[in-house]
Amino acid sequence: MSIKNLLTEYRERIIAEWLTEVERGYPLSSSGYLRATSHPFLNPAGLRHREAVEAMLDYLRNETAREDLTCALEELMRVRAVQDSTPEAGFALIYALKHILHRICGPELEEQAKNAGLEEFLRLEKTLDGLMLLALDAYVRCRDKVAELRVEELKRRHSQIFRLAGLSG
Amino acid sequence: MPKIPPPAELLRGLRLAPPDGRLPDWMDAKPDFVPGSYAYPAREDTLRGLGFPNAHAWNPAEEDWGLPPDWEDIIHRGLKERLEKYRSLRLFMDICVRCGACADKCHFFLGSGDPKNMPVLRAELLRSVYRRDFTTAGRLLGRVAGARRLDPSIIKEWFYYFYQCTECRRCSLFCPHGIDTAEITMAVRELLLELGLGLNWIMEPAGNCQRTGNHLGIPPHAFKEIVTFLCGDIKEITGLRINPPINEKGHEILFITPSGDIFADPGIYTFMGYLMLFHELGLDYTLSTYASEGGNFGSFASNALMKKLNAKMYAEAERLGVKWILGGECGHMWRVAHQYMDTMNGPAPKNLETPRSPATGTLFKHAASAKMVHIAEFTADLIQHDHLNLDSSRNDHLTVTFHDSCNPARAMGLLEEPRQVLRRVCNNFVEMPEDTIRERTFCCGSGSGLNTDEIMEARMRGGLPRGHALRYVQKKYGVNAMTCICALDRASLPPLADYWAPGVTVTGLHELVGNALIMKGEKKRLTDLRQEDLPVVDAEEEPVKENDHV
Repeated sequence: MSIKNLLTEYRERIIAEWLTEVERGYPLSSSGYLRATSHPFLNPAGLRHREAVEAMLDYLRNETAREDLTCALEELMRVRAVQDSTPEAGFALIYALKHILHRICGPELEEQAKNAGLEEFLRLEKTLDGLMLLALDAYVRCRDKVAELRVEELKRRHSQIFRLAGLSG
Repeated sequence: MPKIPPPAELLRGLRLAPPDGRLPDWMDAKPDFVPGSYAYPAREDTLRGLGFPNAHAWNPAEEDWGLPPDWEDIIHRGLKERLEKYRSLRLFMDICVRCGACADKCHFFLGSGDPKNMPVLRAELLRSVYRRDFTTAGRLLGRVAGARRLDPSIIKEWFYYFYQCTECRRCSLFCPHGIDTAEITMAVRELLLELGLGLNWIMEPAGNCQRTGNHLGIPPHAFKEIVTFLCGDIKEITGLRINPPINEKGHEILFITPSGDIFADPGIYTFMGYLMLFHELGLDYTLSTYASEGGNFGSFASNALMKKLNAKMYAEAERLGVKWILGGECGHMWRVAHQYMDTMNGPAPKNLETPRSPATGTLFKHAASAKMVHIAEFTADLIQHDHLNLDSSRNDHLTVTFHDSCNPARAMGLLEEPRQVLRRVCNNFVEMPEDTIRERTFCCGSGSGLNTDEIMEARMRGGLPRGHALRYVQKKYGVNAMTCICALDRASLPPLADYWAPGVTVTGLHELVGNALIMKGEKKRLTDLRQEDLPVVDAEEEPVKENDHV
């Protein structure tokens, strides 16, 4: 079975296991935090996690455009960049996907490599590494943005005071 | 090879999650006071100047918060006093059945995933102490009955979580028993202040307000100078010179707005809109430098301070001899003016009358007692009577959505009036999804004195649900402006929009009114109130239709 077909067959299981893994990062009393409701506006963090993992899997299956993937990763990283977490917790999301893929599709991947060589598997690994870099890029830009928000807020807050003091441009 | 933790382990990097995977009971899990997770504490001299007890220097990141020796007694007595004084608080302590209806309604919980941001659990932080000290079951059964003995770590927990509640009251909307968590937050913040623990971002503006009349502590001459600057901008845009009266006796109306409208971007454009509207109507009004602050940061601290700061409104209305008070666009100012002022500092001075619009003759009966009207109500009435000459195409460069600010929406029911105005002054208005507007609106995440930059991450977390809905209408309808009728929102929504929906600007309602308003004798408008070029300016002057003026 090709990797694309594998990812299609195991799609829902991979998504479910990934969300379970991610949710373990939150305290027990908020379990279900990401999956409490699928309402598009009442659980934005859950929705963004789900949309990101779906976009990553679709991208790995060549079924989504790079822009859509980047957009979904950005929306997710925007959440992770302001949650009370360490940066590695944000990026571990992507590596967790890689490890879940290995765990679920391991035997089939091995079989496939024996029959058709390593080429397709290596391509999958390379794409997963690329996802990590895209996530890193989005995360860092979000952190920069937060720093910029602080500066801009200060300027806005005192705009007329600066003007009074002859300090505005 | 050294052992590097696998991703599953690294995912526990959320500070909320225990690194070893053990999950302690909520009573044992304590917050981590790392920089960025708490707002700066109130300064000793500020608290002392406001008359609060036990003012002292302390640092939340240190172990010892310098609590007074009898801190336990202070809390016990303080809680007892409030339970006796506020029947609602006692009721809220007793009747929660922990059904969980409120759990996922808090924007801070939705943004953070921290269970103590669920309103039920946040309230439980106080309720557990109440049970131990004020109920028999709690005293006898302790932890089994959800009770716990007060200790300094609980005080720290209160400081952490009750300053992660914006008193927006969205949760109370969904509570089958009508428990108002904001009242619980207010009570705990009062208790903390009795120990000398408060936020600088709240107490300093309150202190400034007490001394000089407004949050930034701007003295009267500087206030006047800034108003003159803004009138200069209006002249630049419209060609009309406006000289708003300041501190003048004998006018019909006292106009009070949050000082953010005068000192800060983008509030100033809203302020310019007010002045233009008043000029066009020929309104007989005055501004005041004594009551130069509509906002009331006292309401985020204590009942007594709220009352004290609010007292300026009636005192100044009496001194200036006006007939009624018109209030600018603000949120918590209206919670205070609409729900508390009348009983707290009333009855209104004898010179005040039931407000009547001099333009349309409408008698604002709902304000018969408080004698104060919100400018959105006032302008909606003008629109209803087709009293204004408006060119809504001047806002055609904007696709606007409306953010219902928590207090006007949930505390006042001011839902239709701003929409009525918006629909008339701009041609492109779309609503955000229905579960996120009107009574069910999501908070900006920075209300009740939390809009300080050291907790920007927490504010952005709290702003996620609002930002998410905004992002949706941005993508779907090309929304590029979010209008609100709250000065705190005009301060807190720009970073929220910039973060969650980059490219969306934040405007006040009367900024758009000012843009659209065709004023008698004005020059051809080439720019909007931000002095940005209007997209399409016709080659010919548009004639002002006489009939449009009533």
